[in-house]
Amino acid sequence: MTVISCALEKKRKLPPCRAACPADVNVQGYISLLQQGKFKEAVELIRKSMPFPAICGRICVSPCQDACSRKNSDQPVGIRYLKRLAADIEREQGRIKPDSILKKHGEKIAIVGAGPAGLSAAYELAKLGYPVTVFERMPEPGGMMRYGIPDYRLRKYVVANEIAYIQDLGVEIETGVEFGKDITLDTLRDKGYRAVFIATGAQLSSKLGIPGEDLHGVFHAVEFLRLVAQGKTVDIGEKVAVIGGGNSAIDAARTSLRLGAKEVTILYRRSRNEMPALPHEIEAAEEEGVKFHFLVAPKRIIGEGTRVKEIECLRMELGKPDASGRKRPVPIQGSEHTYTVDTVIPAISQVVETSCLPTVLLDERKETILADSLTLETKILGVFAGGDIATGPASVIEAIGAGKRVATSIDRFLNGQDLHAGREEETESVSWVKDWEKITKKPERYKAPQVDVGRQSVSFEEADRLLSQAKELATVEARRCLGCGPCSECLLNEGLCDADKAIVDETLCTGCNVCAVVCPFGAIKKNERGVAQVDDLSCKGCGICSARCPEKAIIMERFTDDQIRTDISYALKKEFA
Amino acid sequence: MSKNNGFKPKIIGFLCNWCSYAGADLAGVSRIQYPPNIRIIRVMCSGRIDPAFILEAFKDGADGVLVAGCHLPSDCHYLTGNFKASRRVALLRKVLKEFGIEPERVRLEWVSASEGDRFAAIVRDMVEQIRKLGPSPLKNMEAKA
Repeated sequence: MTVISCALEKKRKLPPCRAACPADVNVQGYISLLQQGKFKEAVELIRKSMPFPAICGRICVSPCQDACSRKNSDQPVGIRYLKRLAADIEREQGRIKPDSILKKHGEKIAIVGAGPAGLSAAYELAKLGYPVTVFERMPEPGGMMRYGIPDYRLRKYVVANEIAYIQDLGVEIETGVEFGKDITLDTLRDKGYRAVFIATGAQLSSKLGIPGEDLHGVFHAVEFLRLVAQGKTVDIGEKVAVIGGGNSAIDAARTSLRLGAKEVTILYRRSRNEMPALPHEIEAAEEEGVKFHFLVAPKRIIGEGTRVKEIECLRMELGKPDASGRKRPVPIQGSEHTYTVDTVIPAISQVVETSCLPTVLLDERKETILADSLTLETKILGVFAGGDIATGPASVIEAIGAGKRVATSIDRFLNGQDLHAGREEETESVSWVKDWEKITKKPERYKAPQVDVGRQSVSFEEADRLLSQAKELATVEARRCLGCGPCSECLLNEGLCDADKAIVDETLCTGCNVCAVVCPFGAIKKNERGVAQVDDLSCKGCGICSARCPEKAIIMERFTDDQIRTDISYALKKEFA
Repeated sequence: MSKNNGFKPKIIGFLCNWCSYAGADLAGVSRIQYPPNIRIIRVMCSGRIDPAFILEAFKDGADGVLVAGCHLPSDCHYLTGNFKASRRVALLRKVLKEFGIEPERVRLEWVSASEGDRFAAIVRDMVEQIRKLGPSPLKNMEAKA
């Protein structure tokens, strides 16, 4: 009943976490499964909305956590840690094999780029029963998840494991195929591909545009991280300066330390508050000994011969906020100073490699592909583009969201349906909590311990103990979730949850209002006829009102009084051992 | 003592869905041994338990009733259901005394989803306690009548 009434509502009501997620992951759903210790089911639920639970559990920028209502009382629920733990437990215990899917469609689909956007589009389309081929330039699939994010944050086998799941669904991945060289839009069409999704991302580092950038010893962050990820030796010397304040900058700095650099400094032109990197990454970098110089911007890189020797910088001060809402740094005249360095790693931004793309697809500034923000279709019929290539550098979770949108578009396109109709769904972020004073503070954030136990060094007993400890902590942490969303968020329709509902028998209700007083969620109010009325969106089915009603006018849908009485007498009639 | 020989207490356990039922489930999954004298009735919240249910259980021949919910103060999935249960059980104990049923036959415990061993320990302890108390006085009355 509830599910239908929610679907009919014009605005879809969502808990803040889910409303904030670009990939529409049912956060409240899997957290509630974790509360019950159902780790496998939680992972399966995440896989309904995206294929990368373990990857996102590690490196997601987690907008869900930033939106979590719990922050109004103490701290947000540790959603990312919980997701990571659930995914790790599933992997340690043997990954679930997906059910084989009937290939009910004949139309071949080509996806260019095996990064998060391309792979999640392939995943969704394969689930719909399309034959999908993903083409990848690099020797291994994964895109930035494999070649952009360093190993200490995201192990290669984690990426490989999640991609293997997608391959198990029947997705073909061809590596070592370069778009614009080995394949083009024309050759793909000739080979019989009916739709193409271009998701090659933003693979080039932005240039600083200052003198000395071509010197030996200047590595741009994306290229630097890619070289390291490929296991190539990179000679960085002892003193490294990283320029920028984003996640790539932190990644480059922490990677440099791991390559043996003695002194790593991050130069950022704004102050710490404006840094776009994840806070826990900044803290980790600090703990490892990375130094930060704020309000500093490079002016030129000075070389000795062809090799980097020094970097000259200007001090900055913060002016008025710019278009991005952050305070614009303004150089202070005459504040030039130099640092002696062996290596400079600019990590300021990334740009799209446009040389391999047909110019007709590009936008006015020739920087990204012009694609419809909702359907992601380009100017060429049957060609779609999404992820970093259409938006400029963004996060993995946004790319996953784009991949999902493209999958819907391609499915509609191949079936001759309208690409736009009914897609712009209005959503509203809701929470039943009106009075934060009433919420008991549970500020302790249980950092779910890592179960990536190194297999050689840990005995089975110890691994077991760590695992059960982790599970226990995770259950406790998951229980901090307030369950903001309405009951349609619960997994009634997934068959995973059996929440109850209160129903008022109006002929018996005398309007005493006791139910309204005891309801913890304020779901019951007296209506204009003077009888109690239950708001289906807020009722979570505890049955407290039913137990309390003096007239027995409130009946529960599942656990009715009669049902419980029958259970009792049945239980007592059975012979006890 | 001899009359208690071979006495197998029948205990009804009302467990809340979120903590105690999950705890009992964990006890099962972890293969923790506990006496089979308890029959479990799952309810969504310990606050759902109407005292009438407990009386009903005694009427139907239970020797003891266990009410288990989420830990105080703030573990309840429904915020305050556990407090409601604790108030009701406290009151019910007084009523039971009037009826001639030992209040000790009703036990209120908090068991979290991770406390499988605690659940098993409580059941063991409770079975022992009920065994000492003997069969429910309601049963004796029936037998006499």
